[in-house]
Amino acid sequence: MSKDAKLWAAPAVVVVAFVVVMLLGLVRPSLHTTMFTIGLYALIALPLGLIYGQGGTISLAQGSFAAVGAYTSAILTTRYGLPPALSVIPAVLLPALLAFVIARPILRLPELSLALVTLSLGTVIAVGLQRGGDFTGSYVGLSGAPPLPLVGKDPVAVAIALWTVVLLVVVMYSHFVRSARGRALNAIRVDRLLAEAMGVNVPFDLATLFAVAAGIAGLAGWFYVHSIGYIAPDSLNVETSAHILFMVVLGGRRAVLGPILGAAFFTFANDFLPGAETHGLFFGTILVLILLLSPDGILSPQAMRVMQKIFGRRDRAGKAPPAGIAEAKEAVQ
Amino acid sequence: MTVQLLEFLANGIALGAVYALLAVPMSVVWVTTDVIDVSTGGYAVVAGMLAAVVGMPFGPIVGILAALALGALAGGVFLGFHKLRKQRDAMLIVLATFALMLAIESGVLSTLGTDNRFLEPLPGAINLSGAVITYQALFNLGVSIVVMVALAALLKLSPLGLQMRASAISDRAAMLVGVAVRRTQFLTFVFCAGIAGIAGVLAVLAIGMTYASTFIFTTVAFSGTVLLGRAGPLPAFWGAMLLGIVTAVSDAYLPNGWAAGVPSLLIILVLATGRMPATAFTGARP
Repeated sequence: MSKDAKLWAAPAVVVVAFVVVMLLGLVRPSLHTTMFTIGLYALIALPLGLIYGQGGTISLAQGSFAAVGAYTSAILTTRYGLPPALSVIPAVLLPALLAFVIARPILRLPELSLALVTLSLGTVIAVGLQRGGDFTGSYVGLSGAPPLPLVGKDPVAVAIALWTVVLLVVVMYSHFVRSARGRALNAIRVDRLLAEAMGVNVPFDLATLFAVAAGIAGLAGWFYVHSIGYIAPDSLNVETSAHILFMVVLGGRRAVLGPILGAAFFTFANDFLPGAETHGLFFGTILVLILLLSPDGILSPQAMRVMQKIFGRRDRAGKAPPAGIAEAKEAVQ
Repeated sequence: MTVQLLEFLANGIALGAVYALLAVPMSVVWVTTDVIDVSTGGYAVVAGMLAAVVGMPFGPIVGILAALALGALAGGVFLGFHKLRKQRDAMLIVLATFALMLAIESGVLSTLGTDNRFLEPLPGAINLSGAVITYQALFNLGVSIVVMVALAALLKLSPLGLQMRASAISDRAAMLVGVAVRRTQFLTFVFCAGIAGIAGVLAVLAIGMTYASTFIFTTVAFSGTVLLGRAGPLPAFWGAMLLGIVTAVSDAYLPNGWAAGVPSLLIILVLATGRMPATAFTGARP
């Protein structure tokens, strides 16, 4: 596959899948709402895929950053009469700024401690939203947020607007991972000290990406509140963050499309599996199996090799590449 | 005022004693296997909920046995990663235990429902210069101390404890001197799930629980384990105690609801500022 084809393959898959499902929605209209939910999760999960899958930096605060964006826009539009077209700016900037400020001290922590700190941050945000009194609507939340600009409340138009943003993020993600900065991010994941020795400004690069990820989550929160018209502390919370991590790990943390696949799997499973209380059993079992069989998720080099074995495809020389080369490829990917 | 503070401190220590029985097993699994067993909260909830459903006197035994069985399941998953994938990436196993936690929480929800379960706590209290301390709080503290002493004895004196410590220092070196490292690590999962099960039984007596406590207990265990910046049962014990005291005191003095955020704020401050010296409360030389 040529370099250009590789760059545009992921966005093309997104477009084709979106068009197919939206057409199927003509027969089954609930699919439009399903596509909105998948798009929303995908928008929060994609940047986590970037910072965790490519950068090795785990975050359990994505759902909470989305909540900050949603609340920021809800407060500005319902309390101060700002139109949603303008409230999108603080809805993106506030979580990004918050993430950038806290990123510098916490991103030096080991993976598990970082997970705990981001989880704790999510808890603090949730408590603040619950106890914010009239300002945040307390446990009840805020209602009456105006609809999205241009597209209003029409589910098809909302889904198209949301997926256009998802597509833009996918295009930027695809280009980023193949840029010098993207390779630097991978270098940080493989060996942080070596990356620093090679001239990568690790704290700044990670903090910037962390902030961008939070900003995109804030944008998802903005979509959420203006399409549903309502936000409460339980709408986007720590549990959402855990689900987002599940989607990224299941779909494939190193693949551009992995988080979207994970979001689709999670949403369809929630919609079609009977008995909501047993969903955790299903998701837990599936995740253990996927991690055992294909540690990098469904879209991963291991899974691709299994697929190639099934369909009998080999590389151009007619045989599999040596193990060392395959491992190096995996490390880079 | 002083009497009140004394009372809150005593309650915090009693709460910290339950938290310690969650954090210590997680830390023991961590140092022995390099894996944070995220499903620790699940063992506690299953044990506590079953104890409440079955009732006294057999409930706690049934609950702890169920926790041991779940620990065996987690140990089996751990072994599966090493057998099938020759896995060296501990984070994957951590994610697998996260998946196990999701499954346990869902299993509890689907079989026992959303009701808050509790067992009748020990009646009565003692009055220490005006500070009222319940017998249940003293019982929890006593059980926690007994378990910690038993754990210390096991680690220092028994063959299994020595094997666990050898595996913690270097699993490869332990293998070379003939320690059955994988079996030891499997038994560590089971044994520590049993301790978390005891914590669950104490929690259902002291504070009650629902299926949603799974996540809360896991967070508490995790926080206690890493709060003082060093892996090991002793730092985990002190970390959990600190969390218990902070929770009880902030519950008493802060407006309703805000206290829930204080332990999280403490974790962020301690870890982000890096203020806690790595050797504090660890028993290690500075």
